[in-house]
Amino acid sequence: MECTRIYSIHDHAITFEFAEIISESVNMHVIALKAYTDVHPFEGFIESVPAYSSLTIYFNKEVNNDEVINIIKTYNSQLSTVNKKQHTDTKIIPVCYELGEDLALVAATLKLDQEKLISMHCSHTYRVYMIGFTPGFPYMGSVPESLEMPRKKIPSLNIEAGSVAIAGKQTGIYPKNSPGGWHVIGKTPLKMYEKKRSPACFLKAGDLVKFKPISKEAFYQYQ
Amino acid sequence: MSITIIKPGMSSSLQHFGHWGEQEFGVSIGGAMDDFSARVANIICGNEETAPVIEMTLHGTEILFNKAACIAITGSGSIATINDLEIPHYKLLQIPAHAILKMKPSAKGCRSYLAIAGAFSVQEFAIPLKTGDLIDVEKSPISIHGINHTENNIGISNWKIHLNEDELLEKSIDCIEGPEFDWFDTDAQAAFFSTEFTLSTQSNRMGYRLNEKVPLLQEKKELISTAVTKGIVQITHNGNPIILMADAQTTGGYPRIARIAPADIVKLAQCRPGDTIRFNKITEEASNMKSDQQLNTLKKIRSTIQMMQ
Repeated sequence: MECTRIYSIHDHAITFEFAEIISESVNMHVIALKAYTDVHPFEGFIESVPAYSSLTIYFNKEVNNDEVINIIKTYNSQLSTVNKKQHTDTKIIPVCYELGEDLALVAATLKLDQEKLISMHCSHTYRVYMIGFTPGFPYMGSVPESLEMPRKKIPSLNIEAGSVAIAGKQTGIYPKNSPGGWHVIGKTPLKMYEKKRSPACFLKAGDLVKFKPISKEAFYQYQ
Repeated sequence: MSITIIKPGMSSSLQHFGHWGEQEFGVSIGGAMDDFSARVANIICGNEETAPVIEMTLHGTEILFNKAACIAITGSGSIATINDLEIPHYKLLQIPAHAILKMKPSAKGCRSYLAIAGAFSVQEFAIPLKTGDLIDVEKSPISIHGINHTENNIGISNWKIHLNEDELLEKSIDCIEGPEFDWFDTDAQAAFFSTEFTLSTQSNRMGYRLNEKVPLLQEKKELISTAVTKGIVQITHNGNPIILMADAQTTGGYPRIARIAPADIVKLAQCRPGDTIRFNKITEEASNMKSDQQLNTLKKIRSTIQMMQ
């Protein structure tokens, strides 16, 4: 896959963009390039940040922009000859839908009964396209078309940690109490980001995720 | 040796110089807002340039030194006093045990830095300081020549770091075209460089929101969320620019009209809500030259101080 755009976001950070759309195959390519770069770090490489359809490379003064562009372009061309198939386990995330504060509103808006909505949200396997917004927040997709819910017109000032939410084609989990514009349909007892845990972040870009409904009792037993 | 926080003031925190390696998990780089002033404070104290420092926003911070210490205050945004005697910025100060540092209101600037010879010993960074916090100091301070003592038992170095402080407080901010600069039509581009923007009260370490608007995109084009970092200027859906600062989120989806020349981030760090700024377009090469100049200034300060030790 060829880069569609290469640009700097800082004097020591270059973004390699592969498409202007959200697509599973584009994201798989981004993750494969990230994995390849991480195991072949060049002199001056600091870290790489994958997003939906782009990879951003951070580097230091030991290397200049042209060199970084050449190295990543070479890595990218070698990628098409290596096996891009990614082996990922599916991670199961327990969710108590009863604790979803916007569940009733979402069901009414989408003209679905709550049971149906829950079973639809749980029946899909989602891809973690990227982590962003706050430490550990996974942007996952794609939700079934009949579950597509627009963002809140006025964002909530405080969405509680563990809230499982939806917006458009995306579903995500708020790792800590924060403001947010997505509708909350459930709550997970799992911690998405814990500084002292290894790894600190529960999910990473490229992971596959399935939600499993649990009762209120089961939710509180987790804690 | 240790210090005790009597009052954190508007906002005080222990800062580092950037945490790398976790941006892919949404953890921002962080670090001192005015990286330059923070480094200078450490250099004056004979510390490692990237030793932890205390960042004090505007005024109100009060700190008790439990033993005698050598310290330096840099940056701007407040008037510093030790035992109610006004003390200069950018000098090495020898202060007696039980001295109290108070940061009082001043007319300009926003962030001051406190470094202590021997360096603060900390496990975790970027945590807001609160009343009663006790911070240890790692090792005994080095000896530095050229200290004159005042009647209050405060030693002040007879040398001072020469910096053009007015230049650091200047409000013309150099920037380079951003990745989506071409998405904006010529009117919007012109407005961006001619408008006098005011920092909103909703400005913080994550980002500065500006009150004035630039004309919106002609065609409704959406940017798919991608990596962003300190210095990026994005235009929100209602036309207000947001400048991402030290605690910037790692990804974002607004079109990015510009990125601030890294050397000018320090000027922004010293802006306070209500201040007005203007953006001035420069080339990437010019920006790199400014960064090199800033590094050279630090190098010069370091060699001056080394001669005093």
